[in-house]
Amino acid sequence: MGSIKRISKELTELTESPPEGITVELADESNVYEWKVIMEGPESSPYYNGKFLVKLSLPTEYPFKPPTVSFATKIYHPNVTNDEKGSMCLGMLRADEWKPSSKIAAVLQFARQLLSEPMPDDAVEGRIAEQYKNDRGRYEEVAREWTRKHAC
Amino acid sequence: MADNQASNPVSSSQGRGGRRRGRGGAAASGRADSQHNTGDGEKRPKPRTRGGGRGAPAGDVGRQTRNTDQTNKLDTQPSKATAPATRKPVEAATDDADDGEVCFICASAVEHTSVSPCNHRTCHICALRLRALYKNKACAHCRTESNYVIFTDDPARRYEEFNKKDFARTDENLGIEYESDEIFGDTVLLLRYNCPDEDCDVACLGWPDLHRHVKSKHSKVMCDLCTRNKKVFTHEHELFTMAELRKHERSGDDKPGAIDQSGFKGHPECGFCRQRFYGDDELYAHCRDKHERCHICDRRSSHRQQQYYIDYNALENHFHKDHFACLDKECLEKKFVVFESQMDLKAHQIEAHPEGLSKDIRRDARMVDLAEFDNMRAPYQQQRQRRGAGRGRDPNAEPLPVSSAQPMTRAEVAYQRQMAIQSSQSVSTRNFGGQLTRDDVQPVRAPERSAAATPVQSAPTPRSQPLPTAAFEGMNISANSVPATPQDQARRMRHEAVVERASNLLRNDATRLAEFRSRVSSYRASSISATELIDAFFSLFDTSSTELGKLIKELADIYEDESKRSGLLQAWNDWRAINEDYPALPAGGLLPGMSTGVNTGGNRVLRLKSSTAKSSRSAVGRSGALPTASSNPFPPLSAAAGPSSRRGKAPAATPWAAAAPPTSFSRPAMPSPVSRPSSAAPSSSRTPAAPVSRGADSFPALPAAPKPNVLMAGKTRGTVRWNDNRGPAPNAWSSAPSSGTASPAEPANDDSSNGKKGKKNKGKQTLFHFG
Repeated sequence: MGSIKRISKELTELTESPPEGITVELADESNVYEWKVIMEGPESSPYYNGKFLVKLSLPTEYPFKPPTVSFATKIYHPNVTNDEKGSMCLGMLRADEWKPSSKIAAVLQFARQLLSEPMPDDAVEGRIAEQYKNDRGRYEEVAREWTRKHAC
Repeated sequence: MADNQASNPVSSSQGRGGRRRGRGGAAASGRADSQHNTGDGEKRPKPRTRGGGRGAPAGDVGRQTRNTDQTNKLDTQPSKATAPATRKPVEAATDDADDGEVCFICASAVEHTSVSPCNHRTCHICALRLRALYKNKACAHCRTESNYVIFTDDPARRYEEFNKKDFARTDENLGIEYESDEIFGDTVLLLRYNCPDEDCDVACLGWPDLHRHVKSKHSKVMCDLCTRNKKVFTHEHELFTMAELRKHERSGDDKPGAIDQSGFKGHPECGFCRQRFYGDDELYAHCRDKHERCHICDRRSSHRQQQYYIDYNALENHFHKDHFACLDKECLEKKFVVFESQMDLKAHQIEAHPEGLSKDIRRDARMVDLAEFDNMRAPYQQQRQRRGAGRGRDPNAEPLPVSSAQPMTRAEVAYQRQMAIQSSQSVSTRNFGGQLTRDDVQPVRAPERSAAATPVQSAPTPRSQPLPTAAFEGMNISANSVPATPQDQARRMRHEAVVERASNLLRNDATRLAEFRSRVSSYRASSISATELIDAFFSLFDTSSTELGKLIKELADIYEDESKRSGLLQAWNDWRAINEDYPALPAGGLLPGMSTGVNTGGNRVLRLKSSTAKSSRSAVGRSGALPTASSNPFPPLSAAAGPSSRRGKAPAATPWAAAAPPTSFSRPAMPSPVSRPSSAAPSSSRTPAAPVSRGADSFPALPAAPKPNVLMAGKTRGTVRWNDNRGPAPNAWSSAPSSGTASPAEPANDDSSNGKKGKKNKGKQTLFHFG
């Protein structure tokens, strides 16, 4: 169970050279399995200027089992459940697609990328996905408003 | 060359090396290369220990040093003095290598390399973990499945450059080709039933043997659920005292803020069965398979808290009470024909049970019809009324007559409503009231989310007719709380149930049943012991131990004499602990390839324990996690100190002596410092809370000569005799089944399916959602 080592290593990397728009820290310093991530809305997205609190939790089997990512800040997005869980559905985190070599940095960058480019075909919020596809303007408007309301 | 080989593991284990350096490095292989080690330790460790993150990189440098021992020596010796200063550059320079010294996957030093056909490399431990524990032949980097991987010490050679003749051994089960016997030995070592105790190098013959060893030798126990489910090597399991085990099961090591926690919250328990499961997924699977959920309630409330019912009877009662179940006989048999509203039910009845029903039922239907009719209409009228109000009519006025579209006069409506009221009353009493036996309804709080969910269990009312088995088990649980019926009636019923179960198990063989009875009564008369009774059962019954377990538990319940009851249960538990079967790990008691001699053997086991490094959360790992700690070569030291001190930047700030000794110090002969078995039952001498005391005495103890195995030989059959090493090399996996009937439970495989909780449910919903 080298998980601690690997996690520590990744945490250090992420802290020392954080990817754009992403800052990480431990939710509780004594527990490396729960991370608090602040994700800034990408400039090109309606989430711009928002700061989203994302929770990343790592299983003790990490890296052999995938982490899970959820939004603690409410966000209007086709791929994030609009409930208190705010689960984000990322293909690379599915148990059967996860690779032990994937890094947390990649997961987070992928998640942020998803803010710029939602994937309505893999949506967990069908209604928002519909709107994203058919009425982009309205979607952006709501997303911006939610960002202002919840993430600023 | 030999030296080179031997030192490789050590030198490569720089992370560990780094930590060990304090002790002088080469304790483990303390030979000629100790110098080399030390030097090595000083130099490479940095990336890993302090860098934590940066570590990966060590590749370049690592490789160099490794390949050319000379360079290594040249380089490292000078650097010894300047160690702290030189570290940084090294670290930086090595930033991007991803192969070589540090395994990309586990961030630990690579002892032997595993190469897959896609030419991705990991350390042999990660590869073995995936293949042997996770039963996954996919490459950790790219998920390409490969039938074989190569375990080698060559850091650069590509997969296709190996020939069949390069391999000393092949393990067909695991799909591993070993370049040398030494690697094979190191690998098989990991797969044995090694005692988790850090200082114990005993390998047992199987789980039962290991449990016995741990109990007798260390007075500890292992968590049954963990040993069955947790995907770690045997020696990575934790040892507990009984009290610790209970705590482990109940609440895990979840102590917010504590240093030695992993966030593990204990093994969740099914509130109905009082049985614990490895994790939420397993509990979920259990509840899904063994208990019932109401699809209507689930749909209505999107709460995460699922409500479970102990069995379908209980759920059916709930249907009758809270929803609209179709009372048609067929539908009752079909189960789950239940609707959210009476209107849906009506629709179903009209569609599925038109005319042609028996008189009785037709009459029912007619009455329901009326009731339902009224129901259907009610919302409509209200709506009209509201609308009317909106238009300025007297809101209190009689609702408007049905619109002309409804071919009904007011009188008709009135009549029907009256009928409806009557009929609905009669319907409800007849169909619902009578069934409202809530006794079996034991809503449980969804186990998935709350580990602590412990539903209150009400006593199922014993009925006079023979109970279905499911209800029975419920009964056992709460037998003592049966209030309604006379004690002896309940007891008689339990007797019957036991006898019935026994005779089923014996396939109604009267002779054997008689023997069963006589055995049981001689136990009651104390003429045989509980253990003898259980042994007798085993010869009597030809069945699985699970079935037998049920019987024994039911039987135990009958005894009024407390000592008899607990004696029997105790004996049964003992039997299970010893004989029951665990997931098979390769036994491999005899280790081939251990040509290094008696002493090394012990060292190797101990070393390996640390090298697979239980992810001890001990300060070590954690401090690595603190970015600021990177400049501190021994951040782990400050385990006892608060976080702030852990971040201390200057190495000077971490006084070696004063600071809590890094856990690795306490471990003799182990290359990898990282870890100590985490929260693992702090054995008396090494409580995480008191690291200081630990350090002081354990430090000097370093090179711990392997225990004389002879001592153990008498007590545990598992004792390894290192001098046997030339014995036949058992195939690690194939020999595994020797441990018994081998039914490796692999519940964790359910993960993916479990993840999709809603699924099954959804199925149900659509199935019955007619309206």
